[in-house]
Amino acid sequence: MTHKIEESDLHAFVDDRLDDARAEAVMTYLEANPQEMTRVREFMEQKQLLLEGLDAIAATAANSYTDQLRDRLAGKLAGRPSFVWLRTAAAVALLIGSGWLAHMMYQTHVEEEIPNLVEDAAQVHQIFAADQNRAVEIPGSDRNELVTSFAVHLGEPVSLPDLSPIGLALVGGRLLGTEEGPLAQLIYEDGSGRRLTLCMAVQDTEAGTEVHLVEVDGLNAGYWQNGDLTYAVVAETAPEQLLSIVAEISEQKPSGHL
Amino acid sequence: MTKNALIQELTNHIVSLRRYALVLTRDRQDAEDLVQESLMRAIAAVDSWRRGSDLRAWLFRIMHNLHISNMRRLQVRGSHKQGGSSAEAAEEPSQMLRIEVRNVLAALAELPEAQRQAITLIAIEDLRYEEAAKILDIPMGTLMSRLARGREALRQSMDGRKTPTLHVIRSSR
Repeated sequence: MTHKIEESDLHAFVDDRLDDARAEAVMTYLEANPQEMTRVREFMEQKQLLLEGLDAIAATAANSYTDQLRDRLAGKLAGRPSFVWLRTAAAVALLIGSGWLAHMMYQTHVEEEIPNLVEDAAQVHQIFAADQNRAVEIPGSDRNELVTSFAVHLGEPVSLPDLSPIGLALVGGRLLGTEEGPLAQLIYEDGSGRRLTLCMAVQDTEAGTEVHLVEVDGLNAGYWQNGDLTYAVVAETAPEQLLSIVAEISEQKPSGHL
Repeated sequence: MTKNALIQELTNHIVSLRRYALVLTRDRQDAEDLVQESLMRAIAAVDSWRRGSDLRAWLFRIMHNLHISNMRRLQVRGSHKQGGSSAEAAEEPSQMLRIEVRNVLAALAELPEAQRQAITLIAIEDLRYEEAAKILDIPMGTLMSRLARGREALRQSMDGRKTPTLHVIRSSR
């Protein structure tokens, strides 16, 4: 038993919006409270009936003028410019409400010195990632090898962010030596083969945990620090796109706080 | 996405919009007008849609805002139309609706508008709670309490309407 079951939990249960653990807790509660069980059953039945009723009304209402408008709208929508990563727009929209994005956007307007790591990241991106035919040192399929070899060389435990929720697949990675020490590069790719670099290094950049957005060699880059590791993301994409990618990465680190 | 794929997707969304419009207006003709006007607005405001973002949520927001401004205008004119119930609306096209379905539609039509909106968006359109709250422009807590109150009222109204079970007495002849 974790929390008390609230009325809103019962509705979220009806709408199938609870995670497994919470749904399990609600079920246990309902089994112990037959009256509540009846009520929830009636909510479910009610939902089903409403769906049936409104469906029946709406489906019969064919209208040729509505269809004309639909076709015109489809034509207009089809003409909208395409984005590099389709699903990220929605992710960005979610962030806007949190105030977090506003904070990060502010960072982009601050003039700042770009850390070496970020310049290095931009460089390795251009050399190793921009060219699709260049092979990676360690393929993305070998996650264990990537994690182990990165951790050994960086001297820090490393996790590989899963960016598949925003349509980016891990191609692979490589280790590089820079003047300031080892640099680990991960390369991700979208559905049409466009690539992104994520670099990790133990460097004293004083970046802080906030995300800084900068432009390096015509590429957009974002960097931030988490514990002893500094991260840099580089891609040929709009700053908004980059923000959503950064959000996806930082959300996956339990210790990450932006 | 090609135009044809978009037409297909929009066709599905229009069914959803029509359902929601019926719940908002409680009148078939008004509902269709609202759908058409929403589509016209969407055509005019197509630049505000970002490719890859949720098309259905965008359309719902347009319809919801349009409905609010329509209602305001009517109230200013002092001619707030008392729409028929969606159960009435349901009658001519489909006499086939089961009695329970008619009952629930009639009960829905009697709820305050705010509760009708919450119930329809979540239960019927299967929108995520966050999306529905955004469309209605209310905090999540408000959405949840409207949903809970609306469903409870509907449930009690349904309980009251329950027809006694038909008891057939075998004819002696």
